Amino acid sequence: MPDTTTILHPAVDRPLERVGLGARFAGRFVAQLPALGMHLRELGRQCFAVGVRTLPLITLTGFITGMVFTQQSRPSLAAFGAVSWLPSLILVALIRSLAPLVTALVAAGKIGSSIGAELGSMRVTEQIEAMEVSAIDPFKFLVVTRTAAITLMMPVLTCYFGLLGAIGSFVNVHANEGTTPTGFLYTGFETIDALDIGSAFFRALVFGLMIGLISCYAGFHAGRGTVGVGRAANAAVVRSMLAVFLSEVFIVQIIALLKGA
Amino acid sequence: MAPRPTLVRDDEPTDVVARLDDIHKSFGDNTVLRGVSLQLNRGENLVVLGRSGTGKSVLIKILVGLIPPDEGRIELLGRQLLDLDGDALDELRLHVGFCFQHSALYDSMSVSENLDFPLRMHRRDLSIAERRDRIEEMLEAVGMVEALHQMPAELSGGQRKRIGVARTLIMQPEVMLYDEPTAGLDPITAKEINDLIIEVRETYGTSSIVITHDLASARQVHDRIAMLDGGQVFAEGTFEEVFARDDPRIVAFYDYNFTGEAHGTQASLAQPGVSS
Repeated sequence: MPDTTTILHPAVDRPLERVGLGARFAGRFVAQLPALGMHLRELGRQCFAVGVRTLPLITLTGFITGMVFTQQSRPSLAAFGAVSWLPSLILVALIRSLAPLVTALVAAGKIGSSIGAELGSMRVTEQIEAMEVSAIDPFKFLVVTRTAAITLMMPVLTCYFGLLGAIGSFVNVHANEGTTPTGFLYTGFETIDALDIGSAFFRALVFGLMIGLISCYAGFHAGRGTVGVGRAANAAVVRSMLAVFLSEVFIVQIIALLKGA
Repeated sequence: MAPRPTLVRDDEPTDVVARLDDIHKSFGDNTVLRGVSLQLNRGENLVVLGRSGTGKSVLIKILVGLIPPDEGRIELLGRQLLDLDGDALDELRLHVGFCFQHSALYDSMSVSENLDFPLRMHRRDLSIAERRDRIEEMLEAVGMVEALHQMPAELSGGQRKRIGVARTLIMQPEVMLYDEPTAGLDPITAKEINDLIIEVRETYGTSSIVITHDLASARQVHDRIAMLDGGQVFAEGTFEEVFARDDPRIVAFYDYNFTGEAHGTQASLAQPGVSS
């Protein structure tokens, strides 16, 4: 029997259908944001969970990224006799791209998988249905709080990553060039403007929102059994990372337009 | 505990608290329910009995609006369920307790938090001390006071079922729905859960639908039995009335439950005291 639900072609219809369902899910999140006030305790719990889960990893990756990036960039700058510009290069790279991007990727891996698996297992074990029959809206309690928590925490984690990256970079620069903290900061922030910092903040918010929505969607619509939970966790990570990179492309273009570049 | 506010007014002429009328439900090509009609009378334990996969669980999920039917009418506590919007449906659901097959306790919350959760969401008028008292009262009612601070993962299957019952009772429902309450339990624990179901009805005056394929359980808790097969209710009555019928589906079901064989005579069917 022919598939009468096909409009264009299954290969086109299915991804479009998923985008449509995702958009509806996002719309529902926006519409139910005011309900967040009823679940402040859960929001606080989720914010704390996001911070606790990611802090060790972000501490490590932030410090190492700053240190290694400085080490790898030195020869190129040394070739032009511009080693003194290392702090500037590193801080620009951290603030404009590395901090929001790497933090988002770490969060997608750590938080995205956790949310996907948690909500997926709640779906499979009927805990979400148990909320529904108790007249508790699971979307408001689970999706809105988790998505809002990760969206709010991403700028905080991004700042933290940037700080640790800067410290890692300073340790390297200080050990090799003997740069003082004041000199590092002065040179580092010389070429950074408010738009750079604002765009990093904006990126972090967008990435957090994407990771939250995508991970919650994957978990909330998990299939049956342990396979469904595994797939939900996997989809949460893969789709979140893909969405982070795709949105980065658009944000970079928007920032470039704003800067008139 | 304070008397429960009811949705069905005392002056209403009917004693029917729930009525399913000509319910049809399919999942893709798989037709599960083909015109099921049932009613639950006030204060009775109605057992819906049938083999696995006959749509018993689907039926009670339809009754609380978790699954929409393809066709049919549902009346619950004097309301037409399919006419209700989100808030009105939630209001109605506060009067219904649903005990899931695998208990569906919230894994991330302790037993105490599991019971406190619906109270915290819906009874903002209660103080913390009042909520704590009510939690302890419910745990005492199901014989699980010692589990107050335990996590669901630390509980056995029977204990989880008890906590599941306590969590639904805490909102003082008028109607209790039990989905396979004895599935996966040993006979002694199953009997304890059956006793609890009877005790809940007697203590709290609830009307209950018990979904099961366990004949021993059905016999113990029932006031009335409805047998489901092929997507339809084909027999209704007391245990003795239903199992006195000369219907090969009933004979096969009975024999399979009590002898593990899909054949046998009907002579021994309604003999009480037979355990599974």
